[in-house]
This record gives sequence, structure tokens and C-alpha cells, in this order.
Amino acid sequence: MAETKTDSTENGIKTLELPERGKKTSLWRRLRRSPGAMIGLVLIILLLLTAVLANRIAPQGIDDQDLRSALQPPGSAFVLGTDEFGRDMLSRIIYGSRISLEVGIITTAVAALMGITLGVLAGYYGGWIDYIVQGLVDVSWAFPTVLMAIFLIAVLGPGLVNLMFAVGLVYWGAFARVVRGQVLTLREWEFVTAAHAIGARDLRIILRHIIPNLLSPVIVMATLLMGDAILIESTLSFLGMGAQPPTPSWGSILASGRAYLRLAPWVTTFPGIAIMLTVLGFNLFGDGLRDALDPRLKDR
Amino acid sequence: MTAYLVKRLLFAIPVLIATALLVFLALQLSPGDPVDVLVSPIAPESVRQRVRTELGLDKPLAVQFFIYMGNLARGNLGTSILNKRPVIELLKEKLPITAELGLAAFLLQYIIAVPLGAIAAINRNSIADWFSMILAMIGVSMPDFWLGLILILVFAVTLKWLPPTGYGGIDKLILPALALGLPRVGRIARITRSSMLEVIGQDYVRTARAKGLPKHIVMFRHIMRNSLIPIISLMGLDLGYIIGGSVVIENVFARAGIGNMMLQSIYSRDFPVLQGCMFVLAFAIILGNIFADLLYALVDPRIRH
Repeated sequence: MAETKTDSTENGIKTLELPERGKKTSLWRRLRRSPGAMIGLVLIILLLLTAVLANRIAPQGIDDQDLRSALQPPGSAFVLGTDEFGRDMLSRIIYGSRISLEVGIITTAVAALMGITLGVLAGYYGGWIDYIVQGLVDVSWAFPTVLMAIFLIAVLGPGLVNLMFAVGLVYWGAFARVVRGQVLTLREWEFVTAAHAIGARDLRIILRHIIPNLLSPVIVMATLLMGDAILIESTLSFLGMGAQPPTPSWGSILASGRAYLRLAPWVTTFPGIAIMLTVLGFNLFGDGLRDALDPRLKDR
Repeated sequence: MTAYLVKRLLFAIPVLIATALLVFLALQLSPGDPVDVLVSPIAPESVRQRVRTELGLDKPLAVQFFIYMGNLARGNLGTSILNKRPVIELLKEKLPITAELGLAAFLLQYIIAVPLGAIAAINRNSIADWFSMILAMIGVSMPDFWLGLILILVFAVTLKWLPPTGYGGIDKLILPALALGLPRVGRIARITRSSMLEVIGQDYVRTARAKGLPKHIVMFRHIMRNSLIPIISLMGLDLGYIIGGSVVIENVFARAGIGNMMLQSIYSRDFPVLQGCMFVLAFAIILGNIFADLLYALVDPRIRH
């Protein structure tokens, strides 16, 4: 998934040569015109609200068991039904949003930190650093992302923390590739030459002049990666390699619902819808953001 | 052409060696001792030591790696720690099951996606165009394993048209192939669409039309042939997606293929099997990409050297 996305952002989101204020307002205006971006934004805001207010809006706790009301279908008592322990599905799905969001944010942060650091070094200094970074990116892209994540979990051992690290390791290359390409062009700009000329050191040039100009492609990548990370977390948790019970990760709720597919299809159906809407939100918003930042890329 | 093929194949060798090395090293870093799989945790150290020697785990890492690579070169992928069978034998047994699923999903994707993309390109802003766009968005956002479960729920549990799980026979192939293939259909259709739109705007298409060629000849000889080129290179990438996805889908549909064996080897820490699976899957991806490149060169004489 991410591979193709990377390709389309890679070929040059140029920084818009507009004054800071005008840039922001025109970006928002363009975003607002895109129905996809707006639907995505609404979905993301809903996810954020659900996660933040989980303990207020959830009718029951994360792990409130009541075997007498196990596997109840959706109805007036339990809006989305109950699972095999009589836990309220709605409450578990609401709390699950926290896990998805946490995984999305931390994974993206790990990938972005690694990718930006190595991408900047590779693009700015070139030479052998560039060769090594590019080689590492190629190797990390050689395997499909799910397979790579599964393999890393096999190495690191199961669990949510390892999962976030593993998925971050899978995706850093996406950032590194985009950032490296950007830095290669930025390096040649007059303001960088000027900074060199007045005697600025490399670190200062990177932090003050290069990094701020990388922000737009990085934000687009990060938004799209949030969705991918949440999707991969659900897959790995479904396979028993991520969140462990009773943690209400959407993927692990799905995994436990499998055994009751015939008896209680709602246990498998609703978490899947939650995953889909969440990932859809990030994908729609990310695509909209990319088009708004660089209208030339639209329709690719 | 032959030189190109030889070059591509030679280039694959270092990639394969690097893969083998990385898989080997990564597993060494892994916590947990494979001896634990075979020996009870309360067994005396002497027993553990003997098992370790039997498996060759007492040798230095570099020696272990060279033994591993030497065996690999001779087609020996080691022996399963769990059931003592040669890994290569296990892989041979499971490969058809995975290959069948992968091929079915692959064909299904392109048979649906390419015509859909073509229709969307010819009739911009039509229903087909919107449909392909929505399908692409939903496809990349939907967990494939969930789609698999929903397909089982609808077509096996509720309608009872098809068996929910298992392997053998076309009826057991349909649902997993759909679960593996469908999520990418929209995305491939969109790429087909934009590739066709680019070609339709070219001067040679206008010339072909201007000189009065029949519509279908312009369509197939000029537009289709040229717009398929990016789709062929997409196929190489797509193979990786299918192989990754098959691991999960085989689990959902309880198909005893390589993906499922790989998951089992992770749960039981049977590292030789895991190494073998990773290696075979990497091999398949590399070969698939070479094949896509060759096809590319065949269709597009411009890149032949």
C-alpha cells in the first residue's frame, strides 16, 4: 500500500512560494473544497473524540464481564451486542479507539524520526552515507510490509510495544526516501548556499533551513502512514502477535470473535467497520492534503 | 534480450544472499532458545547441551551461517525442529496450496480491474469512474482478513453456497481468492485509468484518429498496448502484496499453505521452518519482479538495450 503512495508524493512536492499567512489560508480553502478530505477530517475528529472521551461515553468498562449475558445480539440493552464473556461490544470498541490511535501515533513517530534523520543525512551529505541508507531502504522494501512486520514480531516477540517498534521499522524507508529526494533539491537552493556563505554550520542549516521546508511532504506521509499502521496493528493483533487479551484492540476482538462467527456474527462485524472507518479517515484526509499542498499531483 | 535476462538474474544473487544473511542474523537476535521447544524447561543442563550440539547451535555464529549458506546452495534448508522433517520437503508440500491461491487472486484482480479502469478512463466522471474511485478508497482501508471473515459469514454460514475453510477444489478457492484479490481491485483500476488517460492525450493517438482508423483499432493497438506498460511493472509490486496477504488469508481460511506454516513456525519458534518460508517467499518476489521486468521489455521495445 504505502509503496505506491510514496511514489506519488516522491516526485517533488515543491514548497509553495507564498507568504506564511497566505499559504495557510489557501491550503485550508483548497482542503475545504475537497469532499474526500472533509469526510476524512470528520472521521479523524470522531476518532479523537472517542479516544479522549472513552471513559465518559462507554456504557461499561473495558473488561466488565457478565457471563449471564454472553453473546447477546445487538439490541436495546447492548447496542452492538456482547462478546463471549458478556462484555459490552460498544464499550470495547470505544476503548479500542485508544489503542489504535496510540499505535498509529507512536509507530508513525518512530518511522518519521528514523526516516527523517537518515533521509536528511543521506540527502545532505551524499557519498557513502547515501549508499548505505539507500541500500537499507531497498532491503526494507524488498519484503511486503505485512510479511516484514510479522517477521520482526517473530524476532522481537509478541506484544503491543514490540509491534509499534516493528511497524515503525518497516515504514521508516518511506520517509527516508521522500526526505532524501527533497533534501537533494533543497541543498541546491540559494538560501542554503547563502547560509553556507555566511558561515552557518551544517547542523544549523539542517535544522533551520532544511527541516522546515520538508514539513509538507512529511505531514502527508505521516497522515497516510497513520492509517496503514492502524491496519497492520489490527492484522497482527488478529494473528495474536500484537495486543494480548483482555486489551480491547480491534484486531484482537476480531480474533476472539472468529470462534463465534456462526453464533454471534456481530463480534466480528463491528470492530472491522471501526477499523475501516478509521483507516478510511486517514487515507481520505492524507490524499486530500497531498492534493491541496500540490495540486499538480491530483488525479494520479 | 538474453544479456538483459542474464544481467537481471545475476543481480538477484546478491539480493538473495543478503536476504539469507539478514533473516539468519535477525533470528539470532531473537530472545528465546530453540532448545526450549524440544526440551522441558526443568531438564538438566547436560540434556540441553546434547540437544544443542545435535542441532549445531553450539558452534560460533559465523560457522553456523556458513554451514547454513552451504546447505542452502545445495537446496538443503535444514530440518524442522518440531517434526524433524526436512524443511524443503515441507515447502514442496505447501507450495502448490499457496501458489494456487496467489494465482487465483492475481488473475481475479486484473480481470476485474483492467476493464473497470479502462471504462472509467473512457467515460470520465461516469458511474464506473466514481465506482472505481470509491472501491479503491475502501479497498486500501479495509482489513483483508476482515473481508475474509465477512465473506465466510455471508457465503458460507448464511447462504451456505460455498465451504468456509479448507483446501482442494475450486469451491474452496473462491472465497479466499476474493478476500485476497478484491481489496486491490480499485487501486489497480485507478492506475489503469490514469495510465490510459495519459496515453489518450498523446499525439500519436490523435494522429491515429485523424487518419480515420476505426475506433477499436485505435483503442487496442494504440491506447491499450501503451497504457498496459505501467500495469506490468505494477504486477511485480503486486506479487509482494499477494504473498504478504496470503499469510493472513491462509490463516483465516485454514488453508495449509506456506503462509500458515510460517505463522505456526513463529508460534512454536521452529526457526528452520521460518527461515525456509521467508527465503522461499523472498525468492518468489525476486523472481516475480524479474519476470515483470522481462515482460516489460517484451512489450516496450524502447527499454530493450
